[in-house]
Amino acid sequence: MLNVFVRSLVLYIVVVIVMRIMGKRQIGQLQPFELVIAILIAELAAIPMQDIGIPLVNGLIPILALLFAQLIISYATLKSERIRAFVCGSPSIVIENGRINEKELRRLRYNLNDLLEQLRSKNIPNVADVEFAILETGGQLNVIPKSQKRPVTPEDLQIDTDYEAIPITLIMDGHIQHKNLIKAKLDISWLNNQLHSQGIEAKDVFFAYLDSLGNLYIQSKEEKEQ
Amino acid sequence: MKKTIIPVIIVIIAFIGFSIWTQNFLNNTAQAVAEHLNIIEEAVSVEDWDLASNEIDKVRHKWGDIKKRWQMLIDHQEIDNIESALVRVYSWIDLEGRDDCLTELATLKLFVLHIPEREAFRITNIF
Repeated sequence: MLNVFVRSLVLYIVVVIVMRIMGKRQIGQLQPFELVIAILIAELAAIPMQDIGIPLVNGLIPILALLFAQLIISYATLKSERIRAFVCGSPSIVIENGRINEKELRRLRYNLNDLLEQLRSKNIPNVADVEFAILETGGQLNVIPKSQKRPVTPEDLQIDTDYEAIPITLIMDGHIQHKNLIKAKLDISWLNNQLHSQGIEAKDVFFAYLDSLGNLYIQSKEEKEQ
Repeated sequence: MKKTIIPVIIVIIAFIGFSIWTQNFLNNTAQAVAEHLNIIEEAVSVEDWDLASNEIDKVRHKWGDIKKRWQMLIDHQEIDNIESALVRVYSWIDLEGRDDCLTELATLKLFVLHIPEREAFRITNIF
């Protein structure tokens, strides 16, 4: 019983490490070869997890072999365009200049209902408003609306906008993010001064960040607010 | 956070406690059956078929109780192996076949003692 418990923990840790090594991809954005590997790894980990008759190594070695295969394939697809096209496929234009590419849809076995559903989910109910719709290799549909139909930007209205930097988190759950402070070209004494001026200590802060305009936003922990 | 951690710790402690109890239970019951099998082995060796017959009846009776609990804890395939070996031993005692009976007894003992070995919490069983 405890054996199964420990085996499950070992396999879980191995699978998490393997998935981390494989890289940053969400399930929906997996390439076909990555999806196959993810499914196989799930299966390979699940069987020895519950069956103590199977040596754990029999589960671990195939997982490591798949990791190796995945690293090789992803490296090869990174370096070679041909291999990339062969392994991942290439994106397909399914709508061009407001016209559905019927031939391409048939080749991809992608039905009209799915296409319309995807367009609606992107707030584009009319096919005629689409300049390009591209079915990506990971199965996502990316839509580029016609220039007349896209939202107005400040550039369209010729309005000058201020520079907006990325918000930087400075305190998370009472812990000061020193790396981010350095990134923001600030130091701990500046942060302490800011906190003192608001009558709060760093350990009592739930979340504090510098917004895109450089203002410090502080939210204290709930127990301190009460 | 505490509201989550405390129940998790309680569940883990309960689980570890249950695992230790299970291990002891399997050990004790397997040893009890093995002791009877040793007596049968000695009786069969000297061809004391009455004693062997009495003991195997005790084992079958005891096994009936043990089986009900073991079924909740271990692989049913293992229980089937013990069942079939037990039936063969019973038949050989009935037929008074000394050599075959001793062979089947050795197999049965191996099957029974293998269970706590297999379930024991040790590194070789994990990997």
